Order: sequence, then C-alpha cells, then structure tokens
Amino acid sequence: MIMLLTLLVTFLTHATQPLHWGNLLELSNKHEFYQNNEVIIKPRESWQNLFTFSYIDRDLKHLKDCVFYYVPGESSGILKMKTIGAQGKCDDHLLAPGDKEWKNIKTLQFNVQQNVVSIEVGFNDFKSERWEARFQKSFVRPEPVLNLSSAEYKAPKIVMLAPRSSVVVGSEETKLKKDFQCHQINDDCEELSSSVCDQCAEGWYEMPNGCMQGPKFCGRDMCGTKGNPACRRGMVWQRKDERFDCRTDSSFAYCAKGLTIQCEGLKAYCR
Amino acid sequence: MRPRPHAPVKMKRPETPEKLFTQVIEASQAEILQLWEEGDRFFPKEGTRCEEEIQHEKTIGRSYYQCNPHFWQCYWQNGVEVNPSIKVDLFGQTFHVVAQPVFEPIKAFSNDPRFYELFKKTGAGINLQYGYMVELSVKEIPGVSQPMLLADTCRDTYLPERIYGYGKDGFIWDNFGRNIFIDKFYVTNRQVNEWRILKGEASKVEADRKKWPLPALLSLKEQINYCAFYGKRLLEAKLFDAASMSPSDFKDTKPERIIRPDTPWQRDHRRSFLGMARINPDYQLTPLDCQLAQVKGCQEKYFSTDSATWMGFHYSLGFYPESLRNVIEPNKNLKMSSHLLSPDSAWHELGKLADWNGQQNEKQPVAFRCYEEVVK
Repeated sequence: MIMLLTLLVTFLTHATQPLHWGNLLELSNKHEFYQNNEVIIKPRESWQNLFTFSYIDRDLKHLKDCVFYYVPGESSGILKMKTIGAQGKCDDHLLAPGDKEWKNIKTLQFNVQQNVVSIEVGFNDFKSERWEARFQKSFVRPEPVLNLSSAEYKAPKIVMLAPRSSVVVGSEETKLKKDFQCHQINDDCEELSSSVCDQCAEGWYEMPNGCMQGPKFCGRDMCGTKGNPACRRGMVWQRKDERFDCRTDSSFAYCAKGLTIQCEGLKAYCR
Repeated sequence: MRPRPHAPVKMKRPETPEKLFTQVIEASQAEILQLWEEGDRFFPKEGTRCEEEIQHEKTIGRSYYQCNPHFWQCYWQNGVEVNPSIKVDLFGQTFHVVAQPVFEPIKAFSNDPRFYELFKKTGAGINLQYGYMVELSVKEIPGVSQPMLLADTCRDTYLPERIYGYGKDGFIWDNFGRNIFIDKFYVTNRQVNEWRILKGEASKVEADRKKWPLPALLSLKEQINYCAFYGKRLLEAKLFDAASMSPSDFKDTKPERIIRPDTPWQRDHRRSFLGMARINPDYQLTPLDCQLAQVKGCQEKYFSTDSATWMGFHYSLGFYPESLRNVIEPNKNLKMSSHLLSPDSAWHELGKLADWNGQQNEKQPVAFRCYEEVVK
C-alpha cells in the first residue's frame, strides 16, 4: 500500500511527459543546427521544430508528434507538442497552438542517442525535468531463412501502440486500389520507386518482363490466364547469362495449357 | 596484483511511474511472446477450463495453440491457472504484468469482454496485414496500460530460393528474387471465423468449438477470397511440389538435375509404407505411418508436427484432399491423396493431381491453404 501511495504521489508531481513517448517508432526532422547537450539560446524569441516523433495509436492511425520550442529571450521559453497524421507537415503547425504546451521554460537542451532522445528542461522557478523519448528497436528485415514466417520478415513480433488519439487523419491512409502500380520497374530493370505493394487491398500481381523484379500492380493474381500477364517462371533455371528479351526468349514466363505468350514490348501476356 | 572485479552495472530505478511502467513492459516482452507463440507449452495436462474458447480433443496436436487468440483469452480468464500473471523482477521488486479485458465481446464466441481484438490493416504505418491487439498493465503501477499488436508468426514458413520441379517430369522453374512464404497447415475453421468477423459476417461463424481446429471447407471461390483478404493467394501446385519434394542436395540451389521424389520421406514410394501397402494387401498401418501420412485406417490427428517436410510444410500426402491453383495444367487442381483413400491407393504419390469442380461435397471435403509473396 505504501508503495502504491509513493508511486501515486510521484505520478502526480511528475505528470508531464506523454506516456506514449515510451514506445515511439521513429525520430525524424531533428533540428539540423542544434547539437547534443547544448542549451538552445538562439535565434531568440522564435519557434523552432526540434524533432518529429512518429508512432501508431490504438486505432492504428499512423501519427507524429511535432515537437516545437519557443527559444526564450525577453519572454520565457515554451515547449509545444502538436500531433498530426503521418502524412502531414509539421511546418504547417509551427505557429498554431499545440495540443500540449509547457511554459515558463528558462533553459532546454537535448541529447539524441540510439533509441533514446532525452530532453532536459529548466523552469523559471528553478525546477527541472528530464524527459526521455524512447524508440522501439528499429526493425531491420532479417535475411529470409528456413522456418522464418512472413510476419517476422515484415515487421517486429510485437508493435507497441500509443493510446487513442483524437487526431483525424486524411484519406491518404486507405488501401491502394486495384491496378495501381505499386512497384515501378522500368524495361532496363531499374527500380524507379520502392514497393508499396504491402498496402494493396487484396494483394498484388507481377508483370514479368525478364527482370529479377518485374513491375507490380495491386489486385488479384490471375497470371497465366487468357488476357492476363503471364506467370513468372524465373530467370535462373535456364542457366543463361544474358538478359531476357520477351520477343526473342520468353522462357522466363509461362501461360496455362492452350495459351501462348504474347509480348507487349518486354512484358509477357497470355493470349 | 589482481585486477579489481568489475561491479555489475545496476540500472537506476526510474523516477516516474511512466518510465518505470515502460521499462517493466519492455522487460516482460520475451515472456509475453513466449505465451503467445508457444501456447502449446502452457497447455495444461488436465486440459483447460474455458469451454467457450477451447474444447480440446485428443486428436488435436498442441501446436494448434501456438499464436492462438482463443488460448490467449482462455489463459487470461483463468482457464489455465488462477490469477495468471507474467512476473518480472526488476529493480529489486517483482512486478506482475497482466492482460486487460478491455475489448468488446465477440458475441459469436461469448458475451465476455475480450483480452484481444482482431486487427486487419487498413492503411500505411504497420507492415502487417493482420494481427491481434492486446493491452497489458502492471498490477503494481496502477492507472497506465500498454496496447500492443501481436503478429501471427506461427502461420507460414519460407520457401528457400532454388530451382524446383513441378510434377512427375518436365517443367522446372526457380524462385530466385522472390520471397515466398507458405502456410504450414490447412486453413482452419478458427481462422475462417476470424475472417468472417472482420468482414462483418459474424452470423456465419462456425459455432461448434470442436470443429475450430479442423480444416475449413470452403468453395474454391471463397478459398480465393479468404486468401486475398489477407494479401495472400491460394496455394499453387508447383509450390506444393516445391515444399513437398526434398532436394537431393540442400547446398546446391541450382542443381543440374532436379529430382522429383514420390514422397517427402523416400525418393521411391516402393520403399515407403505406401509402396509396401500396394504390394501387401494385409499391410498393418503403424502409428508412425499415420503420423507421416494420414490415410484410410488411421485415427484422425491434426496439428501434429510429424508430417513436416524439408521446409516445414505439413500434410503433403494423406490427411485431406487439398485445393491447388494450377496454371500449368489447370485441370489438375486437387491433391487427391487423403485419409479417404486406403494406403494402397495409387494417388498417394507426390505429383499426382486430379480435377476439382470447386464445390464442396460431403463425400470428398477439400481443404486449402494460402501462400504469400513479399516484395524484396
């Protein structure tokens, strides 16, 4: 009981740092000029965007906290936090009121380390606080090996979430629609943009073009059937070094029995 | 002079309850995961006390309880032990981490609040198609709780990059440059129930708890829809063969000659019990035979891990007839070998497929599973 009371008293006197800062996903937009452990003193009386912390809330909304600081001068410093959707821009909220503001700040400095950002705040009444924004271990895709599951390959086994937020996020966070090109690869096999196929509503299909990665589109895979892209058969089993050009060698793809491969440029279709 | 021994680095107890809470939850993660991924190890010998979640049958192997949300629910509602908790020793104190019943009841299962909520990805941010949301608290630190997502890491397994053969002869292909993950077991009624709930079709949930671990018997169209809902595809015949036919040399991923064994365990079926049964009409099935391939005459058993192939795939021969997409030979879309056929049947061989019209019938129930390709 004494322990509980002690904890409760401590809780009441230090209820400042947002709880969800204990399990953030990513730090971005760290202020480019401010250095670790240096008190921020200029430019005086201006708002600065110190960091952006991204995370996912209990409603699975991808959000970010924009952390701004009003550098003290004649007037005291203010630390301000504004929560917006992950696609939003913090700069748009630089001068707007924050969702949370901590005023009467005399000094502020931070220290960015791997997985932790600590912020030391000194108030006009000589009290000080040390906050810690902690990040979940950044996820590195493992090398796929026997017995690895797709879930382990794609994401951490546990993803920590923040409490529910009242932030309304835009429509950009809906799933990608059918036939949207989710992985852009050109005919020279160059990747023009990273894959976003994991955001397709019902999976994706590939358009084999003789490259190790062909262009991909959102939608169900109907490969090999009449009027649809051919199925990918691979580029290694033939044991050839040269590149595959559909018009001269379409062995990298195949169609259902009774259909033939027809090339549209380098892309293989079934007719 | 002996060097002075290093004093162990002691972590300082955090000053605020928020920071303490975060650290206790972080320290409990390994055990939370163990409870989730290895539910089979927590399954009591005397069975569970949660009839609305689990009605265990001896014919169901314990691996069914891995990454199983009904086991999670059962565990936290005292169905395995009384007042369960995950104990964490930190800063000289023992903390008790517990799951919270903060989610809406799923009426199709029970009227009790849930200790988890089904999650299906709807936008960017998380690279998981689906999972289970849970919320944990620490008894000694009141007033705060931590929601989190648990991934289904038990479902599928990776098909290594190499050159493979399809069928008895001819067609070869390779999956270099592709990340393919194949379901280890058939899709169960439990999984299909979750799909129906997420689609808003709770009225179609299978009510008989004893059937939850059994293969879901859907029409071909529904099988395809089920897999697509999770960003997956119905298993293909060439992938089935790749997962079932053991390579002759694991290290040589580009072999000159592709072998196409008749069974996952013997290159020539005549040396397996299935071949012996063809020669000897009086062949007596042994328990080991039935673990490898459940054929007619075997007692039904599911989620036993004894039928695993070289890459962790199960039920290659025997068990249920299985639906397969087959572009190479579209009229060969059914693995016929099953528990419906006696061990001397000629269908009990890899690469032997039949035609299925896509409709279930009582005499020949057809199971299915999915695979997922993840872009590199």
